[in-house]
Amino acid sequence: MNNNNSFNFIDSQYSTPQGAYYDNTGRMGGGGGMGGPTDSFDNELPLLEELGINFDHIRSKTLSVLNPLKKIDSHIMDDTDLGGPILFGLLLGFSLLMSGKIQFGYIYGLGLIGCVSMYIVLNLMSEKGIDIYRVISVLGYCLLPMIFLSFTSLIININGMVGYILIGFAIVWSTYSASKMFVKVLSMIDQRILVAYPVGLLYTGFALITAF
Amino acid sequence: MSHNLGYMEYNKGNTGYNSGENYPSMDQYNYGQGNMGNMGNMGQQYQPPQQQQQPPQQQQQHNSGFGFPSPTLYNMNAQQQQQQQQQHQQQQHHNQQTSPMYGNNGGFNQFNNNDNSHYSPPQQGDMSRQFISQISDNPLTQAGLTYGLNYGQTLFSGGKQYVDSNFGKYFSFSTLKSYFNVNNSYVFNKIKLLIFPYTQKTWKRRIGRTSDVDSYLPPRDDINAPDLYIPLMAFITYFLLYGFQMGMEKKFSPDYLGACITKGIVFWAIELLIFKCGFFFSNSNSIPFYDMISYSGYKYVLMVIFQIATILLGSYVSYIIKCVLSVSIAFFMLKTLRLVFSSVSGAHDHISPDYHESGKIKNYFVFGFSVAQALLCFLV
Repeated sequence: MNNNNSFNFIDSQYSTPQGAYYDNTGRMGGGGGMGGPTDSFDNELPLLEELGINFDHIRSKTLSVLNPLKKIDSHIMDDTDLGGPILFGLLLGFSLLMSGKIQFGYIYGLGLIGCVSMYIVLNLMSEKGIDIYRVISVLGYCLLPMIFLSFTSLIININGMVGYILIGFAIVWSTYSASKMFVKVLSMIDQRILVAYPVGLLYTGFALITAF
Repeated sequence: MSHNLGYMEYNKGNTGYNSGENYPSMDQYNYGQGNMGNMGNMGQQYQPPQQQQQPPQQQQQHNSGFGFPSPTLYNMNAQQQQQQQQQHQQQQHHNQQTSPMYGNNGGFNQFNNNDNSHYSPPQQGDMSRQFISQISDNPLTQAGLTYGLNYGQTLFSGGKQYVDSNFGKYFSFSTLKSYFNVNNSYVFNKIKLLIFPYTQKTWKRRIGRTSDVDSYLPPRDDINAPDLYIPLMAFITYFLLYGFQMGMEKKFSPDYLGACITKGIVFWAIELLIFKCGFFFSNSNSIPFYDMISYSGYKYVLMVIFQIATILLGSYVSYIIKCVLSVSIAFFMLKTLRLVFSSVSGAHDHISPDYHESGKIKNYFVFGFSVAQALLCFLV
């Protein structure tokens, strides 16, 4: 009896990775009882899918932020995940921490006020509304150039003419990406500049925290 | 709890007596039914019912008019024993074991059997069921619970209506949305008008007719319409540029910038308050509050230009630019507010003396406000 149990345990332990990789569920075929645990393991969803974290979507959104000149899909922000924004916010905080500045509170406060203000302005200006999670998601993903600016400030002195050019470049990059996504989602073609301007103000605030 | 129940039962007994016939023996019978119901509810507790019987006995004596208290007590006990014999024989045995007093009353039981033969047993059963059902109904408790529940719901709905009516009175999303109904060309032309307002020929707002209602056109279609997008963006831009200037001078701190923004908001609120008082003292109808915010916020556009000039050109040249821009904002306000006041008081044209008097005061107010706007450019 004990011998059978240990054998069954070893068999299920051995067949699980094999089933996941090669999908040979019925390979052993010896006993009917052995198939139960193996089937239940194969029917399980992946852990990341259960948690709702989709790294493919995060990667595609990040690449769309990095390359603002490429034409983007209007459904790229349909799944409004908040994992990317939180990750980028913490990354910005850690990069500022390496330069000797503890700015987590200011990043959180400015992000909160900025997202709520953008949510109000966009709903007032557009005929079709937008929900606040989508606003947070877009603004959070487009924070990536600010992270590059912060890491660059670790290498060179940011308070100079070259630094000011880099600050302006990062602000324009973030603003262009975010306003492109907002205009695509809200269908406000004739108000592109008007959508971009408050976004630019928000990223200017982040640039002030980052650079000075 | 039990005391209240006893009192309610006594009240019910009185009600039965009042509605019933005027026979003394009937009165005793009704009271006996009440006692039996009470004992049924109490169950095994024998002492509390005895205590509760004291006040009813006194009133019973008064109502029945008997001269001897002791025969009344014996009669009541005898009736109880007879009823118990008729309905629950086992309970009788239990009572005999617990209290020896019932043994002493055995003779009276036999004596009263002849008198009780006049009453029919079905009546006794019906009345006992009625009393038990009435006791278990507890109408006072149910009425109290229902009243409390209704009062709570009424209070909650009243509070909700109060909040809705007040919120709708002070804040209207659709009205606010019309002030953000702007496009690229409007913003560009408006900023150009603010910087150089001298070549503008017409300052009156355009009126559009939609379904037989005359109303002003939205900012998208009228260059003279006030909006809230430009003041809001100009205000934030001014303080961000000020923060950038402090950063260049190595004096930047997020706390300091936040304090400056808060101070700017407070000054703007005080300015709006003075603006509203000016309307009050000049005896004119008030323009919408959002129009006040818009008109008092346009000077921040010129403050932004001044700040850019300060960063790029230095303080001396920027001071000259500030003087020129303050004259521009004064001219803009003079032209705009004059027409705003004339359009508001258009209904008073037919009364000449009042119009002349209020016209003078309004002109002073418009001029004062324009000068104040110019001076505020130097204070901020």
